[in-house]
Amino acid sequence: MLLAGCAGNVRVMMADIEQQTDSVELVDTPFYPQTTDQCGPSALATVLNVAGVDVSPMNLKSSIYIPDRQGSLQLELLAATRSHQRIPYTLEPEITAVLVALRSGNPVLVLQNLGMNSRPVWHYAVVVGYLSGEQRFILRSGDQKRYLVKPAKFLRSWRRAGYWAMIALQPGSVPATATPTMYLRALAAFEVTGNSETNVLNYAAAVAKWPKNSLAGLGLGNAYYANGQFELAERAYAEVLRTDPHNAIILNNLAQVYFERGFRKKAEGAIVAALSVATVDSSEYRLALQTQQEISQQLRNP
Amino acid sequence: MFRLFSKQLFVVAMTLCLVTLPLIQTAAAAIISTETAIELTDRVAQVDRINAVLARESVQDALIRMGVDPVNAMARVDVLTNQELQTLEQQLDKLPAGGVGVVEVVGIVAIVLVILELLHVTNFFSEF
Repeated sequence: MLLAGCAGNVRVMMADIEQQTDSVELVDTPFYPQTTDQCGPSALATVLNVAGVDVSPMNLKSSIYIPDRQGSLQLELLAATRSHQRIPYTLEPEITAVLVALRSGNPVLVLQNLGMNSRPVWHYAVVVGYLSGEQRFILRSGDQKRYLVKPAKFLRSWRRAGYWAMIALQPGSVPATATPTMYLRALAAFEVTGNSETNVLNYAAAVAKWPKNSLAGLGLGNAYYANGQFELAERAYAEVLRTDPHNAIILNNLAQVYFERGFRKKAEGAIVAALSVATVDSSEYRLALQTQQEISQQLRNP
Repeated sequence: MFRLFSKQLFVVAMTLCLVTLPLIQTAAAAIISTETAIELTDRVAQVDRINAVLARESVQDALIRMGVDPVNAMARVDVLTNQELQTLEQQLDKLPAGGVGVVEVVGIVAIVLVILELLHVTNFFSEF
């Protein structure tokens, strides 16, 4: 059932591909001929270069290549991308997401299984284009700068690798196919290693794309807060409340910002509001209660 | 093999998140981090995921064949309770990834019936 389902997916994707009437090729994408089994560092360096990072496969090898496994893990590709201050965005498992990324100028790093399900041969390559006339994908792959592959063959190898694909985004850019949830997850994961100014830039882009998404607004407020820009944080939170007035998390954070800015009454008002809109005993409620206790404690023993 | 592999990665990633989360939060105790908020507003994510499945061509075809407006069905997802959302998602997880073979069509129709029931579009099951 599962395998049949996947096979169907390839068929659906083939139909998506056949609808493509225009070719696309990111000809300026660099090429790092892969030496032996180090396709991970080569592929990652390729997409990072396009995202403006000056890095070679050799630089990346130590952080993502595991000699014992003779390969790299997807998780490490994501982490290495973050450590170079670029947002790794895992694409939706759809060929249209790959094509849209290409048309937006992003080469796509893909994982392929060139073997069989039972005897996998994992391989990373970079999709740089699609020729609609000849119906071929163009890949930077192994020692080939312009490897042309039939869609069906590519899709089968990609399917056996769980349709895994990622792009490396410059700070502040939102992929055309991004859903708010997936993109904000990528940003939240990035936040830990990203510097706070970059985080502000990223969340500001998310707010610009999805002005009514409360999580994006929360992220922006939090990024300003982490950057020490309390007034801007307050404004970002207040903006969310205009469309989402019963958001306990926003009210909680707003209370904290008011408090730190010395607006004691406003802080108490906001935290009471947070507690009144949150479901009693929900996580939000407990967190808000904690904030209330901390605020009143600090007021008592300044 | 791959599924097992990615599951392990997921577990590692989630463990890392759980380990680092308290550390991040102590930096600013009262501010609820974006990451925490994402976990808490799981409902939003759940609705997104369900609507993504409903947007699949095979599911839309099945809905239309049963005379249901897919847009209408998606709008109904928003008003479900958390419990209903969870049940719905469990059903949707059983859907094949998007297949159109005979086995899948039967499967999709059966599951879509359950979906419609959950969405209060039909009373198919309660009539038995």
